[in-house]
Amino acid sequence: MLEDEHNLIVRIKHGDSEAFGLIYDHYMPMIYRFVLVKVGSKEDAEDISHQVFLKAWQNVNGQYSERGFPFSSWLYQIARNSIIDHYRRIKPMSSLEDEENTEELIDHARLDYKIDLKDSSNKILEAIKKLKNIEADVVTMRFIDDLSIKEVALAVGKTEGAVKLIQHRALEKIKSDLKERYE
Amino acid sequence: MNEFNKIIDEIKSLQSISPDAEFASLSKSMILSLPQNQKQGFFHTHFLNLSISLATTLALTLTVVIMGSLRTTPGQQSPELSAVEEEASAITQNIDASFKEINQYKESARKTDLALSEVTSITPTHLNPTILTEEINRIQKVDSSNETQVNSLLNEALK
Repeated sequence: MLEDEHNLIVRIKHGDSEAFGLIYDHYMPMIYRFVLVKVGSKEDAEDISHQVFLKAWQNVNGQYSERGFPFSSWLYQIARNSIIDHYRRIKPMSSLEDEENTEELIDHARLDYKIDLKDSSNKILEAIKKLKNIEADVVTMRFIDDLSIKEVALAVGKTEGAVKLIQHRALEKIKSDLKERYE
Repeated sequence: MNEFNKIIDEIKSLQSISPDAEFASLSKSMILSLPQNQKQGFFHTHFLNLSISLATTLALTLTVVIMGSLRTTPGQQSPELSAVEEEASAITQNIDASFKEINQYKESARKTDLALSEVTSITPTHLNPTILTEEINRIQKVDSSNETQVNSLLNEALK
């Protein structure tokens, strides 16, 4: 969480673009990494990240309420929804198809991409790609973007206990995958 | 646990991923050039709610009127409504019959009255003038100056 974030949000709600600039500079790299790990394409990640901050700037007055809800969690909620919209655009689904199907679609789509990273990073990214969508979300937010358990729980709409379990399961899966491939 | 820490460190190596500086700068300036959506104030919200209430009331009234007219359409009446209508029709027929009867009495009275008026206004022109003349001639004329004749007639009358 950014220092003096509360005051910055108050200023943003009054249309202070300088305050939004500070929030943008702090959270943009985090949101971009989160999105890139999920979509695998630099162009798509840039496009989606831009949309996330545009929605945040335009809707901060009507949709964001600070009461116990960190700004970071709200940004990640927007990012998650934007990623779902992105995959639905790639493969249109009927509105009747449930959330589980969307998660499966994202799981399969993520297996196909390749990000140009140094070798050690690629190994871990390959392992993250094999995780379920929610597991990849939790691991990315917790260890790549350094969010707290509470922030992650609010972003993904689960309890803190559930997030801890998902995190543990994800780390076990990554460990098994790395062992299987490199030992 | 150490194994997990090692994995977490490896995951953290992905923190080196960062957006292109030029893209980030351009994106930020583009976003900040657009206006924010403003929260609706009390005045707007208050009158919007009032409009919604009015619209709802109007819609409900129209629904009731339409449903009512549908229910009174012939062929779609309920059995209770048909029975009431039959009863009302019978009462109307009775009233009509009574009015007819009253009109007949009135006409009859008018005709009787007219007939009586005619009878009272007619002179005895229907009597035969010849008979009348004969009757007149038969009447004995008595000379009032002749006392003997007058006395004799009076005595006849007194008998």
